[in-house]
Amino acid sequence: MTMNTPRGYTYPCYTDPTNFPAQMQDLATDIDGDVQGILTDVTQARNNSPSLKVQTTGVATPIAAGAVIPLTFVTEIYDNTNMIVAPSPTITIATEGLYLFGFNVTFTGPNNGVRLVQLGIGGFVRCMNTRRRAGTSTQITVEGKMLSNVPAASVVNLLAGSSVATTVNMFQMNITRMTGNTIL
Amino acid sequence: MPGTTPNRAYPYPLPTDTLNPNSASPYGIPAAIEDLAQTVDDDITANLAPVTSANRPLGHMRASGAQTIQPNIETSLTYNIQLRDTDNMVNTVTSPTVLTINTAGFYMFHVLITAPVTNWTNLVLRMRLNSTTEVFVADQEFSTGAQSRFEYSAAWMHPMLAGQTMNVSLQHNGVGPVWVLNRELYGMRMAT
Repeated sequence: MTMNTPRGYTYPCYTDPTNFPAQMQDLATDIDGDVQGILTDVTQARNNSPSLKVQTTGVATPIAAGAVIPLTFVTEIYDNTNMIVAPSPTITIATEGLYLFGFNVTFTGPNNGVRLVQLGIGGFVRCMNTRRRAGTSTQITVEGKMLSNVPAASVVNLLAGSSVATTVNMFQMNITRMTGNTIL
Repeated sequence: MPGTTPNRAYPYPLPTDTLNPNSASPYGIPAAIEDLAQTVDDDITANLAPVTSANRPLGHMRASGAQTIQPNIETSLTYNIQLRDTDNMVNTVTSPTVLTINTAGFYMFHVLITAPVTNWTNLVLRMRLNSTTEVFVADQEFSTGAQSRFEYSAAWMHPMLAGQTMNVSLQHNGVGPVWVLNRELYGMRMAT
């Protein structure tokens, strides 16, 4: 009857029949699997954070006066953990951790009123930025960035609103995991 | 002739190997154990330890002194101070306007600028890949000089190839030049 170390490495007891090659192979294979798993996990955590870049350009999204609506992302630029299946307004973060969000929404339309952008995480507005239009430019960008701890399986949305009828013509969402609760 | 494990090639004796319980020759039990122990040790030292201590590719630079931006001309921001560089991404002498990527991957970028709110009402910031392809744009506006200073920061991300560059440019509609004061650009690889 063999025994195991706390990490699951197998070794023979004194009372076991001696079969040195097989026992050595068992031990070597156990260490092999353990080291390979750790190396994969650490490399993933250190060098390959769950990340996403998704955007919509060239599509006019009308916003009625006083409305706040979720924006639909059309083009996936980068997505290494299947956070979205575009086109969709819904991003799902599978792995918990501390995430950095960077987003921007460009509005065209009248140069009055207030523009609003919200970052929704898990059904709650976690970041809200506004900008008052008062200049002479044809468009204005409302952007934001936020660090937020995100539970596993959280849904993320980007919402846009305006006090006057207007149009969104471009928006982006950038997400990357900065650190997690299990490694680092 | 020992066998080896499938992932890390750790050695173990085969039943057909000649094993001497008390000798290292030709492939004794002590030698077999030493061989396994040494190979595991070498593997962790060479492959696992570097991963846990390695820095991500990262470049961070800023500028001292104001930069003049003439009206209605898109102008790349310049930087003259290297703050951090783990992958030869920064060269403020030969490439003072860009971060140069040497390791391909998905990068996070962050820009910070400060400019006085004079001479302009509309200002456009662009982030360009290889100084050509626009990957981020932000339109800003002020109606009057109600604020004395405009501060702006943004985070954006983009997949990058080795040899590609990222820079930030400004364009404004003023009747005279705008002097950009603080400016910083930061890039870090987040994924492969």
